[in-house]
Amino acid sequence: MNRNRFLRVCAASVGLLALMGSASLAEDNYPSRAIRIIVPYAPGGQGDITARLISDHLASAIGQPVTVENRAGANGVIGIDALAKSAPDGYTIGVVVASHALSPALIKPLPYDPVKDFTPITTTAITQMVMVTTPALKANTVQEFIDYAKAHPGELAYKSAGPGSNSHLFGAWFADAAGIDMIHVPYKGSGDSMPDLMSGVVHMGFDTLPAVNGHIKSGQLKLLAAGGPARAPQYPDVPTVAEAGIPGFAANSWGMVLAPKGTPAPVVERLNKEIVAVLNKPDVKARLATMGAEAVADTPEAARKMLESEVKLYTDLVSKLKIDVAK
Amino acid sequence: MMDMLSHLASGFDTALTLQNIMFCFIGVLLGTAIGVLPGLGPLATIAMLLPMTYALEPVSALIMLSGIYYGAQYGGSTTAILVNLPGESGSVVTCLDGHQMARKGRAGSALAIAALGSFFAGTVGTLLIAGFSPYLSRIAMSFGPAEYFSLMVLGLVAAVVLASGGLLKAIAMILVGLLLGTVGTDVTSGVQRFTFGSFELVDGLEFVALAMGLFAFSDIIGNAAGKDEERKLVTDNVGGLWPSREEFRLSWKPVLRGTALGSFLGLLPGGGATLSSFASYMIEKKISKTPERFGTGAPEGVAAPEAANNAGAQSSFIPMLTLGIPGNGVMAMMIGAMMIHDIVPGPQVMTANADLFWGLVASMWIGNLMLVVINLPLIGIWVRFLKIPYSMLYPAIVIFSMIGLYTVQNRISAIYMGAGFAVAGYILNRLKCEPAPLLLGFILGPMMEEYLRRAMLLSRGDPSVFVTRPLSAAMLFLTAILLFTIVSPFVRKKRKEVFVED
Repeated sequence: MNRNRFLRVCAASVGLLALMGSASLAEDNYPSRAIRIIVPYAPGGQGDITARLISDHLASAIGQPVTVENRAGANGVIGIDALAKSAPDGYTIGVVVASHALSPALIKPLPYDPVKDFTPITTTAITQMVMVTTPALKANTVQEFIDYAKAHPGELAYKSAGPGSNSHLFGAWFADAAGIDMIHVPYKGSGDSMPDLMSGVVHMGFDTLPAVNGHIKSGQLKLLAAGGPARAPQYPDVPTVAEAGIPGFAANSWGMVLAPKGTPAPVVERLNKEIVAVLNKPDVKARLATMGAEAVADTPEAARKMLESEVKLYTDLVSKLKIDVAK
Repeated sequence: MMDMLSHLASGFDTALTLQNIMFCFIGVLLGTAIGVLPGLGPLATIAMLLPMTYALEPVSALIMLSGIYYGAQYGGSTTAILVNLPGESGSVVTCLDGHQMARKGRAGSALAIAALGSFFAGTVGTLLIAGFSPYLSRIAMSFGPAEYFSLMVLGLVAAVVLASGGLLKAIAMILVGLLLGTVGTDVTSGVQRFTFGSFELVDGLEFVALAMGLFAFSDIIGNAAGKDEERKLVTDNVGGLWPSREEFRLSWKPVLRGTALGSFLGLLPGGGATLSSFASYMIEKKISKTPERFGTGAPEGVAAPEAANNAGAQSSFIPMLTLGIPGNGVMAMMIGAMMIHDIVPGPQVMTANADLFWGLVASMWIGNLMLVVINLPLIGIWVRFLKIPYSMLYPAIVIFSMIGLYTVQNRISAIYMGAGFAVAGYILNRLKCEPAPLLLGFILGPMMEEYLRRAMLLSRGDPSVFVTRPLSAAMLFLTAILLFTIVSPFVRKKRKEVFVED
């Protein structure tokens, strides 16, 4: 009886000690349980595939399960909002793509600040966007396209994946910089617009290379230029838009791992170290390359700088080109 | 012709993978099961399974969902013949003569006629899709936004004219569907409509929640509220399965006629299995030299409508696959399933997703073959299936459906939406308002708006584009004629007669 009671007291005090220690130990022991990656998009997209690549390799590296949770909707806002409101303890992180930097122009009021409410971990990859036209159009270079558009003002139309999407922004930017008059024709997504672009109902568009590469090869679309800043490795002879006469033009898309604001620095460092290691694996790089994405693994500071500059670039473009849709 | 054969061969390659055979089998098996069970139809079942297909390859998903539709045409006849209850709306007329045959001890023979007639019709339907679709899709490839808009107007109006039930109610349901379809972000301007500031509604109402609530949950509420109909079998012993020489002689021509009629009616908007079976029964009765035998166990009365409903089920895939335009509720579900997988419905499906198209077509023939096997030798199992009490079946179905609904987007709001639509669906059923036109409006409405506004954008705001382009003008002209026929008193009277059995 007595001995039993003694044991119970011992057990209780051990438990108490453990409780007291847990607060300060939390960061040192990190990660001590499963990590959840929120993907604010539907399965199958670039952000989703990147997150799944990371989760597969990260789990074995840190010895804890890593789950991917798709919280799609409202252009990512639902999932990103959930991420922003999660505990900043490193157990909930998220993967976002370039549209994250565009959301202030799309949805108002945005329930979070795309920069200030997050702690970037690393940029994952940069995806080349390309300028494609319908084969129905004679123009074979960017300059010929601009000349044709100038000779036929108001006749040409460019397609986008919706008002305020990056393809809308790049199309409007191109038209503005080249000084040509084109109609903007929005579609529900990139795939939706393909039949019309091929048949010449609309004439030009910016899209990610993997989305149009098959159609370029089959001759159903014409590749006029790489979005930039560099040429696409698959098409070394095709110039960038900037090289072809629109200096400063750069159209690309990217992915980034974010944690909620206030995630402790040691946790951010650990996550950065592990995820950078994953992104540098040859098979991960190869898988990303098949999607036309070039793996980027950098520091949290570099990622923050890039996020800030992208948000600024898009915000400036949106106000300059007057395409703010969420009035 | 050679082209078609090589396409079909590649389709069989896709359809004959282990995984796709399995999903084809699951589909036809489920289809038979819900066909046998009165109360649950293919619309409800497909709605419930939509979320599950999320995890599948698109081609496997469509193979399974289609299997449910044509599988139900087989299963429905079993209950009609043995219990005198239509297991499925496409087999309502099969009760008339099928059950009488069963009472005369020819149940096995009636079942065999139904299954073999269906199989023949299914084979013809499959070939028809394979042969017909490439041409249709090639024509449709040249369509611009103006043509598409006019085509959809025509389709929607035709669906109203040909649909069974009250005209006014059908129109009202389509309008409600159109309205519900406007919820969410406007594709053309990016403006949010009817979202009430909720991010959950920015992408519009969840299609799966709407379909599941309106068709599956509301059906279950309706069945649970109604009295359990007596499901008494005429006999546990279905007798010999082989039809007599005389029955064969009487059946083969009606099968041919039913197949031809069903294939044609399935192509039309608003057509499909149900309309085909009614129409072919009436025609058989009219051209028969001994019309008085109908209703007393005439094999023709089983053969013709059973062939017609399967042919109609099959050929209603053609406008959906080649034009992206759903002719009936099940096809609207198929479009929804494609959209879930990011496949843009339209003529390019044939080229951009050639595997999917030909694999699906090939699987239909395989599925039909499986159905003959499932339905004839295994008839005893299905008969026992009828004895499962609904009080056990329904709670299980509802729970699984809700899990499925949640997993579509990992959002609890989808379940609330589904519950809301379930109540709405039940009320609509009680008011005798068919929810199928609502679904058509919900799917077609946003597409129509998109094409209308895109055509207007490209024409720089000039609406004459719809009548100056010849194809578009022709389709609008046809629509006008159809509209005229609705208001003409003569057609209205005829229409009432045609649908009098409903």
